[in-house]
Amino acid sequence: MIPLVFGVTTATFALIHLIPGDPVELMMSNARQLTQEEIHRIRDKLGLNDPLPVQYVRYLTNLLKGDMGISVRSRSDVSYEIMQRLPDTIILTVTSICLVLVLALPIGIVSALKRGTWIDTAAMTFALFGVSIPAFWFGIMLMLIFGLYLDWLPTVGQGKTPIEFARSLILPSVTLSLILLGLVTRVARSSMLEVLSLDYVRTARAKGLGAKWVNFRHALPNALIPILTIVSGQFAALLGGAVVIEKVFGWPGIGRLAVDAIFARDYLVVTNTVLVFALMVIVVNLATDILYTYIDPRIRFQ
Amino acid sequence: MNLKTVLIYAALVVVLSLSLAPAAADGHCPQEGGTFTIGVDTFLPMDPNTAAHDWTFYAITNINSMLFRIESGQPVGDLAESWDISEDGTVYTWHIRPGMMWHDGNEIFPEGESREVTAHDVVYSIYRQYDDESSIMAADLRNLFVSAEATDDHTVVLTLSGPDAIIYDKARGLTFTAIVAQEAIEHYGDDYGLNPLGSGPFEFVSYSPDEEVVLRANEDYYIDPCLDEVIFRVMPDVPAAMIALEAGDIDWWGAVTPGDDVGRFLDNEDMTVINFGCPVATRLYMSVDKPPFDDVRFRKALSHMKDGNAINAALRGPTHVKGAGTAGPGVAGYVEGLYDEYHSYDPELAMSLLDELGIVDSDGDGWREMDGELLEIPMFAWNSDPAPDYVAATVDAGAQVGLKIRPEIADPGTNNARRNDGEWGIYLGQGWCGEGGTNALWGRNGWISTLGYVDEEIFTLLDQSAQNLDEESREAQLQAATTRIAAIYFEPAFGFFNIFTVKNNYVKDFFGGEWTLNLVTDDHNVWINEDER
Amino acid sequence: MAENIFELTPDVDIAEEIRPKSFSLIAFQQFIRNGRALLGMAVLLVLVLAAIFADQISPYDPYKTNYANVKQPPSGEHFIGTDELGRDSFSRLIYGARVSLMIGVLVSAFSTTVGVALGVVAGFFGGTVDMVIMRLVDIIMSFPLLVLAIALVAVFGPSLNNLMAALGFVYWVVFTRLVRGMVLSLRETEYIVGAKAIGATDFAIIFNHILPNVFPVVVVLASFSVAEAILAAAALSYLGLGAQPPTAEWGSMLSNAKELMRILPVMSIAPGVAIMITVLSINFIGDALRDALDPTLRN
Repeated sequence: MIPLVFGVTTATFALIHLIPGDPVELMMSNARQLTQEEIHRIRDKLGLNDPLPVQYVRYLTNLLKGDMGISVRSRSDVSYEIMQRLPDTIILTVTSICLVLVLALPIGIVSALKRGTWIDTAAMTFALFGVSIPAFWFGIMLMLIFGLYLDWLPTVGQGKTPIEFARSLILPSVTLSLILLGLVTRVARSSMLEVLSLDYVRTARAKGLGAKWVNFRHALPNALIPILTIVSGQFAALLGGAVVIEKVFGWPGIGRLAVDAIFARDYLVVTNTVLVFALMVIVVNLATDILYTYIDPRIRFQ
Repeated sequence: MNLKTVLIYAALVVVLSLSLAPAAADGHCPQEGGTFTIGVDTFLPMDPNTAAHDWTFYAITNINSMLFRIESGQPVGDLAESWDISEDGTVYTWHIRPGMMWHDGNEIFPEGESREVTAHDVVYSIYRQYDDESSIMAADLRNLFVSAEATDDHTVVLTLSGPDAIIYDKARGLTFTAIVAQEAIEHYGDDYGLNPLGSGPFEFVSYSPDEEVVLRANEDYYIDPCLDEVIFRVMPDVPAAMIALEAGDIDWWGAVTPGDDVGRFLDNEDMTVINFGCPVATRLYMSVDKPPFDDVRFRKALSHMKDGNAINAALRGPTHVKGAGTAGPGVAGYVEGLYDEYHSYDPELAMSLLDELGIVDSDGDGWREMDGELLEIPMFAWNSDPAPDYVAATVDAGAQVGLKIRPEIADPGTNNARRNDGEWGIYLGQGWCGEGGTNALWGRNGWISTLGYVDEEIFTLLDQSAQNLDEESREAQLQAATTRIAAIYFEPAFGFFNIFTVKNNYVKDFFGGEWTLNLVTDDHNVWINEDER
Repeated sequence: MAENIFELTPDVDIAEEIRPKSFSLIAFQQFIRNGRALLGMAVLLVLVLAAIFADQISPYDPYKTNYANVKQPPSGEHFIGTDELGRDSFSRLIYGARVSLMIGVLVSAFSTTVGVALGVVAGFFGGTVDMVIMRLVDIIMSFPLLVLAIALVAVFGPSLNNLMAALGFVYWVVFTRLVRGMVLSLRETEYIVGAKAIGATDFAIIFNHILPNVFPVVVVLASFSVAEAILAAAALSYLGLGAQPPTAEWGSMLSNAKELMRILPVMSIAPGVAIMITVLSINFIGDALRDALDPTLRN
């Protein structure tokens, strides 16, 4: 795990410095027009004129001390910038995952039970629609319809009271959930099918247990495992999707921070955000492994 | 005068009186309270030494007092009630308004335990910027600075080594020296920008990065603000922000509004479109020190081959302004008629100029060659709208005269890097607002000097004008600079566009359109008509 | 952790169940009995034909500007109006099919080839090679893929080729993980052990036994990756990291149209719908392929 984290940060540090461009120059806007001389002065103060290996070693030693460094763009601590946004991204992705599960599980299970009927066909077509729509485009369409024409929901930003917050969470999380919805519905359906064909489920049915009872008591827990696998496996993809969605909906998350920082050449912010991404993926995978053992006690850590 | 005309005039009078009536010059608000939500596309921590971004300054200029504000292009008093300038323009004596208090009820000054803002605070703030080599104090001011002194609690004397004609300039003057409290700076250190403290009309409440900044009215300000609360909401996606504006989720869009939306809002009777009053030019720069760009005839050909005015009109919509030159209409140094003189659409002329230069299509493939080799010119631009469209239009225009132009669109950072390396090619570029902008662009060490835009005569003219306090001769110097830049560089122009911001009509007594965001001044006090919302 | 993120669970059963002729035959029959797959094939065929014959069928030159005729609403002359430079949006849409399909196919081809090759090598030879390849896979997989692709395009500069290279670089890992897992279990099967025992070369074993067995799964995954690549390319183009202007590409058309969304919504809707239809028909096909090729789902 540590070599992995080290590899990821080193790769990111190298990659982001390969991109041509100067962070100080990019801070400039209409209001503050800097000459080349002024830019050089600021770079000096921020240590950006030092050779790259020096900057890298400085970054690593500081990181070991728990200091992520300073953002060039905002001049505040990178850890502050990340911690301010991390909860927002977690709320957004977790809500999306919940939405996915709430929608995908029933749809997938019903279509498995009604295999081959029109319900199955309709559900699977719907699932495929979900994965076929460009999410950012869908987000803007939702915003137009529900934010402007119907005026039911806020278009961008975050509400302050819990109710407003929940309302402002709806559009971005629905948009984001689209990325996984189709895939999880499919998996739910096929793993349910698979489990239904297993011997012990057949046996349970043969023993005369009611079909409903069999489905929920015996089949469902086993069908959950592939679903869990796919949700955790796609977690990184979900974070990637959050990048664009956060941008469109003005959601203050770390995905948006990462992309803004790439374009602002805010080197330490990019490197550390990717580090946090990697840690999140690792944590999610660990959590999944633990969940496995709860769902199916036969699975044990090795 | 026929009936229709009379009616129109009558209607105008009614509208005018309605719009003027609620002005709250006497400090009385037609309606107290209310939250003013401002949409901006970026926001950064609010330390005046490091905040380089326009919209961040909107908040700083309301949290902190400045010596003066800019209103309708003119300096008006703020922390300084009045000021005198010595005959030679080198000594400024600022008279500080008595009774201005630092915000209280915070970590530094508990409720009721604030102290008065004095001349010493002003001196501290100026030196804080001057001493920090990396602060964004404009070089023009830094180079002239001699000293700042508090002669008593309410008098500051600022001494310069020469007159500074752009000390009031939006982009490079003293406007950016917000007055800060030493106690706050020392207490928060590098985190001051996250906990700004000032003496302006609004107090800082909270800051969530990439999300919002909340300010509330400062009751101790010398004018009582009508608004209760001001919120800056960060909206990175402009089309989404436009929807939010229309839905009333934000009350004012404080950043640049795309041309097509301006057109739509002009037709919307619930919205008011506000002109920032500083047209920005879109033009081409090129590596003028390398062939074939070093030959003025080639630059002329590039200019005449395209219908710049039509392209600009199509891409900028109602914000389009015909013209060319370093300064736009209404800005010091503007010269009329430069577009028609230098940039009119004339592909025949462009082709004959290219022929004259020996850049001809000798192998008959439809593209011109130089020195026997296909001339393929890269065109560099940044990747946000409408830059790619200007590139598409230029590529298309080039094809019409047999000039092969290869688009090279990249994100702004990469694009800047190419320019700093002086890479061979043409660059889509924008002018900068105001005189300070002209200096920072074309002046010594200017933004595009790396491309070979180095001309002593232009430098001298700009240097002289920056230190010339006589309006008339200064205007003449600036116009001379504009004319010379046009004549020797021949920077192919498309035209100008106006910066427009848009507000909902229930925001009253708000005129926007300045770098200092003036919500509460002697003449204006912004309020929200909740009944119309 | 399960090795693959797609639901085809690679296990020994596959190898045992595959009996070449009957399997392909049944698969084919199953495939053509799937209504959605046929619909997807038909739509895709139309799109491919449109892409190939774009020069013949588009009513206007997609690059011809006309400043006197910009931002026109849909009409008989311009089915979905004109854009901000007066170019015919319908013609641009048709040419856009060319670019989008090309992106999908090339990215998928690249990542399939590289991914399968490395997956087979890692799984079959194991040891240091396996370790190196899988560490690389782990590192790439720790990035949100879109962020990595954005950074890569930023390094090399936006262009169609760099966009495809970046996406290809990001996607091959999915194939490698999947294929390596399959190869690991195939390697232990009796007939491969047997083949080794009678002295078959590694090369022969890979080509005669391993590749045919991973093939069905790879085909399914490849078809989905075409769809995914088209979507990812659209997102990158939307961020201004796609094809250079004036190339007609659906993602950049969407990006261009976003400022006109309120005046000319059709400019935003049309490319979005085009992307959706294309991706949907590819997904229909991929889905049917999966049903047909995955023995565990067969009746």
